[in-house]
Formats: sequence, C-alpha cells, structure tokens
Amino acid sequence: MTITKTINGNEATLEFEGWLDTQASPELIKELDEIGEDVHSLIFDFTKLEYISSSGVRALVGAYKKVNGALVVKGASDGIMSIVKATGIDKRIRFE
Amino acid sequence: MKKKHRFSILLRVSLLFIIAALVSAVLSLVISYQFIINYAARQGRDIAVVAGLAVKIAIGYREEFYELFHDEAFRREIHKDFKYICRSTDIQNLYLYTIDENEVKHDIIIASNNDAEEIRMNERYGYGSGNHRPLYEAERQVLDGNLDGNYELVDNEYGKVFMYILPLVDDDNVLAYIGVDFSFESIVEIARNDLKVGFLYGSLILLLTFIIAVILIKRLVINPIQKLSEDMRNFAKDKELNHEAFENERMFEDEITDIRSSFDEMAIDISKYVTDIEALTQERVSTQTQLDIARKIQCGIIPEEYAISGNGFDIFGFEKPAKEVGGDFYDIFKAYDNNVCVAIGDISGKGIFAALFMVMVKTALREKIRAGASLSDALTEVNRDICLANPENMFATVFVLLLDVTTGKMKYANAGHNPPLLLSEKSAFMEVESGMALGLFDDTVIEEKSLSLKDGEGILIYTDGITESIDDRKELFGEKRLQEEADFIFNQDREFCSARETVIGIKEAVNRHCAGCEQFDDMTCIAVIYHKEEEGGKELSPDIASFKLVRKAILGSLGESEHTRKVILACEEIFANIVSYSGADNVYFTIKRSGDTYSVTYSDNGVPFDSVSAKIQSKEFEELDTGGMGIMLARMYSRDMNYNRIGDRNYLEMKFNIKG
Repeated sequence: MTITKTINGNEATLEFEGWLDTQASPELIKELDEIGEDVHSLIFDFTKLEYISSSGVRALVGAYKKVNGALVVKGASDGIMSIVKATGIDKRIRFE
Repeated sequence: MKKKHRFSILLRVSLLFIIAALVSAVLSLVISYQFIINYAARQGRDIAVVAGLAVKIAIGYREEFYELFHDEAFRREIHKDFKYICRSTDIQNLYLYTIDENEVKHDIIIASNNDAEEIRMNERYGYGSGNHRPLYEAERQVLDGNLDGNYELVDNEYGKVFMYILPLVDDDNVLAYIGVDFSFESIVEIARNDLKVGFLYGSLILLLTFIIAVILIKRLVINPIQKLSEDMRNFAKDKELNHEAFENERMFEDEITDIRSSFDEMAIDISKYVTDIEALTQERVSTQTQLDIARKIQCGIIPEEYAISGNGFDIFGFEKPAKEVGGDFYDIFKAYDNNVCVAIGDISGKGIFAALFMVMVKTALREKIRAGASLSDALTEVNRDICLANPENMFATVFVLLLDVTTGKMKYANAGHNPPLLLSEKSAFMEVESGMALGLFDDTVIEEKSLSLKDGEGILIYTDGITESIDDRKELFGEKRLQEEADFIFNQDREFCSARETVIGIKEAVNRHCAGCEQFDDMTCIAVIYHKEEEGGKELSPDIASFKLVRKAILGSLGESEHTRKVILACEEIFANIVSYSGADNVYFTIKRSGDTYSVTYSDNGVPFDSVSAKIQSKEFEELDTGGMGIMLARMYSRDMNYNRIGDRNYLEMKFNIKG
C-alpha cells in the first residue's frame, strides 16, 4: 500500500495504490493527521486501489469528518464501489 | 476494362482487299485514258498513212499531184477512196489540204462518214478555197521540219475532236497534208466498251483471287488462330483443356504452330499446377479439420487449469495446447484413501489419432489406479493394452505419482517421460529411471519407486513443450532455466508458496522467454506441494500482520480475481475481529475445498463470540468509524457461516463458492 500526497494550497490530493486493508489503514490515519489545519478539502484518487476493508472504510469516514465533508473520492473500481455501497457511506461521501 | 469493338482479322483483310481493288481501279482508269489517246493516235496515223498511200498511188509523181488541183475527175476518184476509208473505219473526217507560204490553208479533198456533213463542209471549204484558220500545233511541227506527223486534241465546232495530221512528202518536200479527225466521243465509246469488258474480266479475276486468298487465309491463319483464341478463352474460363484439341493438325510448322505448342505446354503446366494446388488445398483442409477435431477432443478432456488442495496437499495443473494440437495430457484425481494421483504424459504425433490415443491412455490409467493397482502394474498393463491395438504405432511417455497426503510418502513411476523437479530449499531434478515409453513393446515392465516429501516440499512435472520452447534466436528454454526459475519462484516466499503460484510463475517465465514466438508444442506443467497436516490447521500469531499468510493461501488456491478479493475481505474482517476483541493468544486456520465449495475455518482460544448470530446495530454515518461493519461485510460476502464453541475454543467456518 502506497499513498502519494500532494498539497496544493487548501486542497490535498491523496493517491492510493494497492490494498487498503486492516494493516494499511493506520497509514492512512497517520497521513491524515499529518495534514495541517489549513487544508480544507481532500481528494482521494482510488484509480490504483485494488482492495478496501472495513477499517479502510472507517478511515474514509474519519477523513470526511476532518474536513467537514469536503471529501471527493475519484476513480474507484466496481469492486471497491460494491463494498462502499454495502457500507452505505456513498450516501454521504461523494464518489466520482 | 474498356469494351473495345471487335474486328475479326478476316473482316480486316477483306476491307484491305476492297480498298486495294478500288485504288487499282482508279489507277487503271488513269492509265486507260492515256492508253485511249495513244490508241487513237496510232489508229489516226495508220489511217492517215493509208490515205496518204492511196493519194500517192493515185497521183504517181509530183507534177501530177499539182494537176490534182485542176482535174476534178481525179479528185473525185481519190475522194471515193477517202470516203471508203471513212466509212469502213471510225474516222469522222478525212481530208487533204495544202498550206501556202502565207500559212493559208487550201482544201483539196474533204471526205466524211456523214454525207450531210460532207456536203456542208464542201460548201463551206470547197475546193481551192483558202482559209486563215490558225495553224494547229501539229501543222506547226511539220512546218518546222518534223515530218513524222502528229496528233492533237482540239475543240472546234464539231465538239471534241482528235486530229491526226500527216504530211504527204516527196523527196523531203511537203506536197500536202492529210488530216484525220476522230470524234473523241467515239474513241471514248470504244475504249469504254473495251474497258467494260476488261473491267468485267479483271473484276472476275480479282474476285476469284480474293476468294482463293480468303479461303487460304481462313484455313491457314484465321481458323487456327480462332481455334487457339477459343481454346484460350475456354481455358481461361474453366481452367480445363479438351486435350483432343491439342493434336497438331497442321502440315507445316509456322508462327501459329509455335504459338499453339507454346500455349499447349503452358496450358498443360497450368492445369497440372491447378490440380496440384487443389490436391494440396484439399489435403491441407483435411489435415486442418483433423487437427481441429483433435484439438476439440484434447481441450474438452484436459482442462486448461485444474487445482485440488486440501489438508496436506496443494496441486495445480496447467496445459496450453499448441496451435497444431499435440497430445499432452495431465490428470489429477483422488485415488483412494489418503492418496491423490497425478499423471502427466506426452503422445507422439499429432491429429485425431494422437488425441484418441491420449484419451485411451489417460482413461485406462485412471481406471486402473482407482481400482487399486500399483503404479507399476497400472503402467505395465496400460502398455500391454495399447500395444494390442496400436495401428499407427504411437507411443506415450508418462510420469505418474501417488501422494499420501497424510504422510508425504510418494510413489512414482516413469515411462520414458522427462525427469521431475523436486521443489525444496534447493530445487533440483530427480534422478529417476527413464523407463520405456508406452506403446512400443508389449513386454515392457515399468518400475515403481518411492520418496518421502518433507513438509513444504513439492514436485514439479512438465512436458517438453516447456523445456523446448524457443525464443526468436531458437534458443531453448531448457532444463537449467526451468530448474533455476522454479527454485527462485518456490523459495521466494517459502512460508506459503502455492502450487498455483509455482506453475503460473513458470508459465510466465516461458512466455517471457519466447515472447512473440509461435508456440510449437503443447505446454503442460503441474506442481504438487505437500504440507504436513497440523492439528487444527496452520497456526497464526494473534497479530493483524499474520493475516498475510491467510491472504497468500487464498490467493494461491483461488487465483487473483474480484471474487477472491471478496473472500479475502470476509476472512480479513473476521480475523481482525478475533485479533482486536477476543483476546486469544493462538489462532489456527484451515482451508478446504470440496466440490464447488471453498471453506476457511478459524479456531481461537479467545472469549466466546458468535459472529454468526451477534446482533449488529445499524449505526448512523457519524458512528460508522467506530466499528461493527466488518462482521456485516463478512456475512455479506460469505455464502454461509457456522459458529461452534468446543471446549475453550471458538470455531468459525466461512463457506464460499469457488467461482464468483
């Protein structure tokens, strides 16, 4: 699992590659903690993400709360989307 | 192609003839005109000479000639002669006259073949009367000393007249002039009549020549060319020759016979090629059909991939038939008790026979081993059976092994097949007896050997399609590379390298080796891995990091796919729960396959927790990050979940479909 982070003013883009599983989710939480208070919106690029577990989904909810809902997830595969829909978070988080 | 008008050669030759005939007619008319003039001149001269002679005979000598002017009776006599000449020829007028020094003409005698005309002329130019008619060119020439006489065409009151003037000479003295007039019309009339006859005969001769020429040309040139052209057209259309037409029916050799014989040779050659090509194509089609059928048999009977695994063993087989099917086969099946059997073989030859032979060997072998025969007996018997009915003299190399999955003891027998590779910490080819291929000699006896596999060791068997696959420089993949690649793949992550990973790894290595090159032979490869069965399955430390072993096991046996990820997700969620909430200090997991069911069981010594019937409260979005949805996902993605509490352990079994 690799996360590539790009900060552009108030906006941070995180690119995910590999498996966001129980073991990898703390990495995401750590990355989010490291983002400063001046970042107001987040973009998660899921194009290269192959897998997400419930811990990953929970980390997504955490990220959503951190930026008060200004989170957009892009490029999620059908497999990822079916898990996301099963958890219901797609009703609040914007998936593009 | 633009359609051109068709002009047959015969038509063109005829047209040329007609044009030639017309040109020659015009030419002969022109020549005839000259001929007519010459004819008239000659006749005029002859008559004038005759008339002059008559005068000369009548007058005798010069003095008497002068009396002529005075003796009327004498003149009348000569006039009679003149008249006779006129009447008996086509002469219009015949007359005698003198020209004096003042160039005045004095008429002496005028005769005409027309009496009325003669009277009129005599009245007008009577005897002795002088007239100043200008001298004709013919008369001028006589005055100038040319005494041969001359002719001239004049246009006077009588119309177009052809006039011949001959001087009457005595000792170079011109006594008088004799004039002969022909009506040009009458000459033309005569000539026309002559010409008519001439033309008639000429035309007849010309026509006859033309007909003969046409017949000859038609027979000698046109007909052979037409026949040739017809043959060529028919040949171009049907590509077939009526061979009788090719007999040489001509007496002499010429350009046409040259063309004919060249065409005949060419046509015969082409026909031969066409026949050859047709035969070749037919053969090709039938071969292709055979190969297609064989391929269908092979692909229908040998799956491209086949895997079985269970407690203690993990087997994965793979076959990729070549474009032109050979006769590789493999077979993986549970034999009896705790024994699984794996067989691999390569049939000599290609096509339907090879495919059927393969089916025979594979089926017979399985049947005998399932019936409990030892490997040695099974192969020996199969050999004897197929030797009884092997009209095509085919043979098969076979390697077969029987693994007791509870002990790792393996029996094997080799009938002329490539040596297997022992997968271990240091993978190497096994020293096995080569044995004799099946189908060659009916008294062959195949021996059986045994070997004990240690935990985590395995066997890799393959056909020569793997080791003999070539790259673009014709370099073989080879045994050495196979051994190195297999050893590398197998030992890369020794903890849990699956049979599938090993085989797929080798397949990819071969693909890399012969990238883009055509595959010439079937490729078959099987890996058999033995895992010593542990009580209650494989132990995992209660740490989320150890889930990677489970993940590897599942990926290894199911292969990478969206469905596999769902299976892993369910297993991960349950394992995460055990690790986080049960407080267990040891966890075991077992994987079983049975039919189309894939099951994963965890056993842990933590606090009792029934994930199957535990109520999960649905949470608001804001509380989702606090947990609880893992079990929900596990339930959703497993087909079935069973929970048991036995002693101080939780047993949770999750069942999945093998295919998504």
